[in-house]
Amino acid sequence: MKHKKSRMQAVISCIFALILTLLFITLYVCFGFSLGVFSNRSIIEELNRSNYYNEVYDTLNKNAEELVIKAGFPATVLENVITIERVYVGGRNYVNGVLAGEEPQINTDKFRSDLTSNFDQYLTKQGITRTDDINTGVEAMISEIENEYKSSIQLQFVNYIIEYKTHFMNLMKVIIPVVTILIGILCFFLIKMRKYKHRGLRYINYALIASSCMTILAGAYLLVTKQYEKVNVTPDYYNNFLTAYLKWDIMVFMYLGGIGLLISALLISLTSFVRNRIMNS
Amino acid sequence: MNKNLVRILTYIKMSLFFMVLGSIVVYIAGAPIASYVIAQGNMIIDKGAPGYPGDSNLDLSEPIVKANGTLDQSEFQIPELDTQYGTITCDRIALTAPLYYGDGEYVLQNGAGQYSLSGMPGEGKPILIGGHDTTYFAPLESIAAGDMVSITADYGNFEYEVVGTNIADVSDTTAYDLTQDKEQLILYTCYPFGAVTGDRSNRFFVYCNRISDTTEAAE
Repeated sequence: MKHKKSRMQAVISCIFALILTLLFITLYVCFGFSLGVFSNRSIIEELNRSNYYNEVYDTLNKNAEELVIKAGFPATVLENVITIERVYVGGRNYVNGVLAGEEPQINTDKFRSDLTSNFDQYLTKQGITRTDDINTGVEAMISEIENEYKSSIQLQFVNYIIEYKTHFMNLMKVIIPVVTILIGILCFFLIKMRKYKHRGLRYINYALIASSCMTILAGAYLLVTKQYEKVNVTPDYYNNFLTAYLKWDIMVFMYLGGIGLLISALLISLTSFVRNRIMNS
Repeated sequence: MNKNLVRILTYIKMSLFFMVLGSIVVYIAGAPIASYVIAQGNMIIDKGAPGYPGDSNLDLSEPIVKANGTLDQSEFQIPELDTQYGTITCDRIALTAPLYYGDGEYVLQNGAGQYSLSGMPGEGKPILIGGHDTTYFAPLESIAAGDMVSITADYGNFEYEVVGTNIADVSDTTAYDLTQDKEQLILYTCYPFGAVTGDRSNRFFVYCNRISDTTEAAE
């Protein structure tokens, strides 16, 4: 009878521990997404780390030069218009605005006026008569370069991240409390149903170690097989940013798994302490 | 055996046991959710690209569609399987999706896929294009008769008008006709929209007729 009761307790403990494992994994996923994928700081840091704005500037400059040269103008008409400072400030303000939940505004008035002034100066210097055709052509060229500038600094990816972040956070408001309560209930029953409390603690620890190891191993697999490099999108600067950003997101999960293992180490000490106390009493 | 060593081995054994069990449960229960998340992620990455749509090495500088809207067969080449050859859009419902030749899972995770045994835009034959209801084809939920659907292919632009929609079982072969003699664009996706689990045996079909000109392919 005693043996049967003991076996029953072990089976129930295993079931509870398995459910705990899944609940811990759910928590890891939730926190991983919050601190990694949907973290504003992650996005901003990875944009800087991947040299995003410098590469946007290089690409924008090259495209704009091709446009003006094709139209018969020298690249000097772009002088002091497309600058690294303008691209960086414009891009950074756009990203910060979107991440702050604002409607991003890209002000190109100064850009347009500087460019118009350069074209005017060039035409005057060359002694070219401003006919309607030339004015229309120049106007179209300026608009095209302005649009090229706007589309270069508009990182639509951030808009989508914020949109999904809103839905995710609404979901988290329900999931996190529910999961936490369930974890609390299962831990309570695991400890309560055992005569010797440290045995219940062990099952909680098994669940924590299992879930932490699964998280770390999954992250390690993705890092070793370089899944984050298989994104393959254009342009290159966007691809580089995504590679860095995804790599960081994977590492966040591994760090969380590491924290889980640290907590389980503390739990092992606690289990040992409780056990020794029981033995001594 | 040393008691501490036994305890350590028990910790390792039991943790491995729960890892294996947990992995099996996560794999079985989490597969549809993971697939959904990956598809959403691919869509965000695609649509978030600077200058989207358009950065797909498509060259519209030399369209090979003749003035009457038909394909110049002497210049036309069927795209390679699983390559993007165009974009499908419907402005009213904000539908924008890369259009691939082929409709395998890789394609559907990255855009809309054309059934390779159906016709090409401009060929004068029915075109069957599928997409996931949770990603690129999610806007189809709001589509209505009279809406304009555009296909911008690397060889020309084609316009279609929605004439109707239908919900049918996935095995219902009467839901569309690929043998008809006109160029009908048939879009389809899973129904009901947005469901990740549950009964996914229905499909939502959108029928669109080519507008303006004749659709006979040149011989």
